[in-house]
Amino acid sequence: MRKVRAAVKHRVLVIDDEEDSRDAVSRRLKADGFEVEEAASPAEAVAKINAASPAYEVIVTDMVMESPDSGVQTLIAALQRDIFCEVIVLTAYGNVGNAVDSMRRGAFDYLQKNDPHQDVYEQLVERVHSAFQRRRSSTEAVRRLTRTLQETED
Amino acid sequence: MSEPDSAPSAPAPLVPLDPLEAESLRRASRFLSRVLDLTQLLEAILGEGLEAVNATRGFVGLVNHNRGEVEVRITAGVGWESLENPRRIRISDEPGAGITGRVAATGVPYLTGDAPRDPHYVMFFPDVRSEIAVPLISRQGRVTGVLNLETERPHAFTARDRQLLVALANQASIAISVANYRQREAALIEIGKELAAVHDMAALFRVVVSRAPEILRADDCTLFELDTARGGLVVRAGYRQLAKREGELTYELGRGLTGWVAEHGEVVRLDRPGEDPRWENLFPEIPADELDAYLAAPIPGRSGVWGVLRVVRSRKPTARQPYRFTERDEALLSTLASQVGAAVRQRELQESQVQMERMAAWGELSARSAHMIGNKVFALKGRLSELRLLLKAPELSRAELAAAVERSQSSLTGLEEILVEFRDFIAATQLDRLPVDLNALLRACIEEMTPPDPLIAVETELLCEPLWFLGDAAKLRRALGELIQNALTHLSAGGRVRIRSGQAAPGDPEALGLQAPAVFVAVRDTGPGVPPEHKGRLFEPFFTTRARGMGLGLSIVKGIVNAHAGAVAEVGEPGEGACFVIALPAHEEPAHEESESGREASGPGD
Repeated sequence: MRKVRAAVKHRVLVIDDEEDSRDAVSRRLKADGFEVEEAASPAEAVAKINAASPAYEVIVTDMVMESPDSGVQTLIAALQRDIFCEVIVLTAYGNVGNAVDSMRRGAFDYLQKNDPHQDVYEQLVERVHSAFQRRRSSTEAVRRLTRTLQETED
Repeated sequence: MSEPDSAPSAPAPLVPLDPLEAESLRRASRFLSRVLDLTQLLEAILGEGLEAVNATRGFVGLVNHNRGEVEVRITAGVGWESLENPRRIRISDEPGAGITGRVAATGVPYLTGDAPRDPHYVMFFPDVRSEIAVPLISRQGRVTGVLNLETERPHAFTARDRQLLVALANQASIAISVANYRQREAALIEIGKELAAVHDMAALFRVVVSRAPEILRADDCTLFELDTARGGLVVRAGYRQLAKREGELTYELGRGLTGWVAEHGEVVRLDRPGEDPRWENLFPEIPADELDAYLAAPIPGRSGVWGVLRVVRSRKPTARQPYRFTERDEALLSTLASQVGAAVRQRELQESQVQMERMAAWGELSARSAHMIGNKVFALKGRLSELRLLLKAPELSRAELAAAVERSQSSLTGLEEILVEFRDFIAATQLDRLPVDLNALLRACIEEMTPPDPLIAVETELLCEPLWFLGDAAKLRRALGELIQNALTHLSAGGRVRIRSGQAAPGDPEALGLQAPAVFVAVRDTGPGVPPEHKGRLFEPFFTTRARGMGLGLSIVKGIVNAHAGAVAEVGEPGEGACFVIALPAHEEPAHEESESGREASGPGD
């Protein structure tokens, strides 16, 4: 099992209207040491995203919930709340159209739920770790940039 | 009788050119042309006749060539009620057959001098001394009736009277044929309505072949469908002779007169069809030498000819002329054929719409199933991945393993539930139809229902008579059970479910728009009702407000009801509880062995 470096547990929001799937994802992420919160509908997800302070760093969302592009809606909400939020989208096997759309809109990555030849949970855990890494480097880059700007002004 | 101020109503004398006589005839003609009811018309003819020749007694009879008799329809004068059997007179020109029988046989008027001395006179009334009878002759030259007048004066009738009565009879014949035609047209309109109401095509065809002979004065009628796959005309219904050949391939396209009609899409109207070069004597209803007239019209289909409707008349020994079909008959048969064609197209259209809806539902079902099954499989994969992790862990916790296995099992059960619903949805439209009593079905359903709460009351208000419909008892029972169960799940303690059944005519709210007599059941509950925003989607597949299942329950109900050509709707007022109504086309009460209960009683089915 991978060791999580931070002393504070990394917090992930898992969004899926299918209770069974949501539970399976949560358990798997918890087993890897993440702190997991859940949302059972896009509406609940948006409410939680807006209420969270600090903002969620990484979000895992299902694509098809109430509507075929529910995942895009939660992605937009997440990026409005925090531009550095990393969103991983779960899509049905073969439904790449939505996945490409979400990548264009700034998702970190997408995963196909029912790819027969992949262990999607292993992939997911790996992607969540990468997402945290990228978020860290993004925020550090911004901090550096801010510092440089301040120094220039001084 | 004299009415000085008005036109003379008494018969005017002599020669056809006499203005009074002409006026009298014109008056009769005007009057007759206005009377459309056949009985009133015959009464009027008799009245005019009596007046025209100063007769004291008389009758009008109509010829029935099938029986070879004149049937007395309207009488005037005294003594008729005391006669033993005056109502039917044999058609014959042999001496002793009587004057009416002779006139009907020959088509020639006859008048006696002193009646008792006349060789053809047969006495009905002892006081008769003179008798005159004229035939009513159709435009085709057939004797259709006889006007018979008598008086107590010997040598009372003259050649002038004969002339007058012949003129009157000609007017009367025209009026009768107009009245007949109107009557037939009205009957045709009635059939049109009937055809629109019949849902079963086989039943519809039987209605056509049994009603057409009556309207077209034909002796037999056959309805053929052009089956292009089999390359010819298949008997769909026959009135008499060809009824036993239903489903059989008869004429190849182009063979015989009927095959010619199918190939060319044109009417054939012939007397003595056996003399036509196209005639092959293949599948006639009547032997060629007994066949008087033949009329066949194409039944129009969506593209070209759908089939052929054919009527025939047999030769009548008492008729001097062949009973040929007229242009009017041709118009009537063509109209009837068009009505059949329209009914068939309507039916095909409905079927293709049902088919399209079914395809759309299938597409939707496939997509949604893929989604839901995908989710379940995804969850199951997660359970397995969790198990794998647990096995890799340094210390193995049996309790944790058991819990993870339990979760896997529950995901698998979820998957199976979807498969069960899926199977039910597929099965909903495959029917095994028999006459079923809706009330019996409801009683069985209610008996096996157990309310989730003993404080929920189930009340019934079933019509005491059986409510027959043609359907699949098991499927309908499933649909009714689903509705009742649906009502029960939305109720808490103190709630009530009220189940009412009955008959509904087209236009009744309970008929739900069905165009035929219907049976219905209404399931009303005192629950929260259906909010307006849900009403439209209630019967859509996958619509559910419950947590479990695919939400196919009400869509399965709709599928089952639709497959029975019925309708289902939620008609409750929001806030006053839900009310689901199912309406199904009513079916006539079955002969005992045909019914569902009959089949059960006769032992195990299939």
